[in-house]
Amino acid sequence: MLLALSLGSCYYDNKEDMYGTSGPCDTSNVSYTTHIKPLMDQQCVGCHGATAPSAGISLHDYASVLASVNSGRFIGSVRWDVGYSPMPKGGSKWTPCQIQQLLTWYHNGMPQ
Amino acid sequence: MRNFLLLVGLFAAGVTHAQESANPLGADLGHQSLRIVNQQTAAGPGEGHLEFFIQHRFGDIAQGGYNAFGFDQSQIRLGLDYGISDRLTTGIARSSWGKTSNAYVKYQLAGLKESSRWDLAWLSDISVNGEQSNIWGLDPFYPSHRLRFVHQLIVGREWTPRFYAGIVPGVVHINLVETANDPNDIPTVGAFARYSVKPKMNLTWEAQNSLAIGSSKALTSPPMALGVEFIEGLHIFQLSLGNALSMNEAYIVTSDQGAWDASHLRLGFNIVRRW
Repeated sequence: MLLALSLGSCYYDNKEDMYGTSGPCDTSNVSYTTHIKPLMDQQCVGCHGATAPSAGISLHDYASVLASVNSGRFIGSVRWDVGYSPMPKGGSKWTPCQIQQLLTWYHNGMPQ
Repeated sequence: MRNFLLLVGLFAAGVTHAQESANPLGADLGHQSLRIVNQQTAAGPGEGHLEFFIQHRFGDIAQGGYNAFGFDQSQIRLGLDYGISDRLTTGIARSSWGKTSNAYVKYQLAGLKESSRWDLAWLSDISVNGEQSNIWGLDPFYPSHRLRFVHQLIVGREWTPRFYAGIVPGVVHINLVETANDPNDIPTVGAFARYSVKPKMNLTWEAQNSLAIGSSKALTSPPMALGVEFIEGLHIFQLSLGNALSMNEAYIVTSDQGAWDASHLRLGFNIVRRW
């Protein structure tokens, strides 16, 4: 029955063809400057800037992002893991590609 | 806290009940529990038997003492397995990872006879991602995007009375992938082993990998885990150290989840209760 359900519900879709998204997720040579900082500026710095950051968490430069990631709260919040405060507050979740880039950057030692 | 109380309640009930009933856990290594860490063996619980399991995976150990070495970041999965017959097993589970629910059937093709050292089973699984559609950022959004399927041929062998190991060729089908170059069908392979240190204590190992070589679904850090399991009455306690955060068959082998170095490993445990 499950096999029949599998066959009946099986699709070969991709976002690129269906939605015209911008192409493959680039996770090669992910660095803070090229990938992470633009994401921070777009998604985080509005509330977590250098001056009077929300919850006292600043994400405005490399050192502050490093400190936040190393605290163990950042990735869980961005990924909306259970037990974490989902971020960005009131905004949309990061796309799978953005999260993948963040994880790749983290796993590669968070290069600047 | 609620999870903890649930655990305590189930444990207490189980200890009481275990003293009253015959132990349905098989004596051979392949049948002592249905999962090594995440990977299923070819075994089923047996006709009329129900197995309840709780799985937890924590954050990276490298998070340090402030986060109790990953303890503060936890993923949970709860599930039930039921033996419709000695050969046919079905199960359901819910994972916090991706808010994913799954259901599976597993049919044991060979290995029920005591004289046989081989186990052979077919497993088919369907997973449904339960995240809100607006999170996906796709317009229009189709419910079929949520689905993934897993098919596995599980081959296990009891090499000696103390050593059980097997291999698991399979395929994961993802209904929606990122780009036209990403494969929807990802061939996979897994391997597992269980070694009995003493009658109620086993060491376990498992690894999986994607065979979509050269594609975006090739893994640089395939999931792997080492474990130790203790059998107490009708309970099995499994402690593990591995690099995968997901516990769901449809997700664990389709994306890198953690490098294999000392700073990215994570602890986990499974608690199993069989009736």
